[in-house]
Amino acid sequence: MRTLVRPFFALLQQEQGGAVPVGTNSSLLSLIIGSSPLSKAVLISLAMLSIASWAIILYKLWVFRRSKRQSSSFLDVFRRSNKFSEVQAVCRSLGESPLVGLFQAGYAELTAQLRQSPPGGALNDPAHPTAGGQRPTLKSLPAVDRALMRASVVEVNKLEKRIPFLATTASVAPFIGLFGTVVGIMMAFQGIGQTGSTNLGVVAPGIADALVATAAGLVAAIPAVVAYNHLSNRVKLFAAEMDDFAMEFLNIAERNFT
Amino acid sequence: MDVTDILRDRMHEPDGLRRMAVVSVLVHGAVVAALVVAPGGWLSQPEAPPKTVMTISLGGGNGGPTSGGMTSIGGRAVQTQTPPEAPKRPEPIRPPAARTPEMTVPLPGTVPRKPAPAAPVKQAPDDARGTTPTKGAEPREGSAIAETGARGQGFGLTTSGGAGSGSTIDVADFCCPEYLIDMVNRIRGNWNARAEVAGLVIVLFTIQRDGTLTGSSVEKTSNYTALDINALRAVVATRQLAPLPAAFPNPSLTVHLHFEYTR
Repeated sequence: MRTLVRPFFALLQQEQGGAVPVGTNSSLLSLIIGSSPLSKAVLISLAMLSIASWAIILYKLWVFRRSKRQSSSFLDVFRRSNKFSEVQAVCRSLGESPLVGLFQAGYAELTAQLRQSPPGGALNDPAHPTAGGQRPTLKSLPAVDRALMRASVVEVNKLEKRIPFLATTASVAPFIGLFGTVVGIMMAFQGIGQTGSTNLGVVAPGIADALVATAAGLVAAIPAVVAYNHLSNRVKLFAAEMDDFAMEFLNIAERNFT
Repeated sequence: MDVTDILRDRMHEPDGLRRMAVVSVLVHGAVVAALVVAPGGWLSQPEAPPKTVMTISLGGGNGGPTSGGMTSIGGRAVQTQTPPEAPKRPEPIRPPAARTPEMTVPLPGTVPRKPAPAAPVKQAPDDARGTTPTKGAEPREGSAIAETGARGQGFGLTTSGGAGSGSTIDVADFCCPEYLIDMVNRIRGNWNARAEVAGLVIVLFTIQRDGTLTGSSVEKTSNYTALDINALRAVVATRQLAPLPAAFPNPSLTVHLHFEYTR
């Protein structure tokens, strides 16, 4: 991450050290360049928060999109197949679906219990639940349920990872910007006191300079708030889908192995 | 494979965060570059076309102490001419006075007649107790231009202590007179007012939006080169004023500043 933000620092320093470009749109840039070192530090910290939050937003959207697509494919395979071994075979190619984690945990627990049952050859293979004349039986269906719950917790934690950073950015960035504005206005009023003039031409530039920090804080915070709410909702949908899949898996296990 | 092993493997996040961080940095850089390179007017309001320029006098120091030299010369109170009085009516021809009786010696034994007591004075009604009505029109404010000779707090510069002979700007209805006061104070700080001769120099210059002074030139010479150079040097040495007020829409302000040297 440190290496990633280095180019942005270089860009900022280049802008700060360079000449002010000519044009009406240079007013905002000239405000930033002409601001105090504390204001620049506030703006740089807000820029870092914005970069990090946007990186997380893009990453999570990309991951969730892949997870949803692979979950759909996995459910299609799971509901069409009659053998767990066939489902297990496609798990590697659909590894980003959270349902795959649940299935692999349940399947492993199922296999472990059937292996501990009296020897019966193919009868104890969960991949072929109906093969042979005698049905293999599970020792404990609640144990399978617990394995599915553990997998569900792991998958939800993985989906929720880094999302709290967006909430932190959304709540902290406006305050950082407000801090920069307050300090900037204090310094502007000190300058007004030294010049001894209450002319609007003297007062307004300092206040405009100070308000840039608040604007930057809002620019960093607003996308973070929107993305946090959206991604949290997506995680809830994934969790509901995993609960549904766990019930379906338990029903199949109970129907075939008890 | 045990359930725990499977869950431990599943804890790893898929790769791609670093790639997204690079994308985020590039997006932010593009936004910053767009702010720098994009055509103007994205963040600022479009500038209104400058208003039609007309020259109006601010009246200079002749406006009197109450106006501070900032009011128009036509707005001052000026005594209007009294209309001619109506021709007098011819007085009626009075009849000749009664002839005075001849003085005669009173007869002996006659008693002098007592004078009749004066009638009691009645108080005049309220309507009758007014003052004599005035004649002619009342003094009121007019629009005539007159030189009253009064010297107030001036907008221009003079050696007699701040009451200048006046100054003009090329903009109608300038919004902020305090800006002009600030300008005059700054230029006065750079002006050497000592002179051995009297004279009036008018210096023309333009204040840009950012407060820089450009286009300084002597508009009216005093016929003394030293005074002209001295006045022009005061404007050139000031070089930078406060930026023009935001309420003033034009990109620049042209000022005709008067430097009055008195002995």
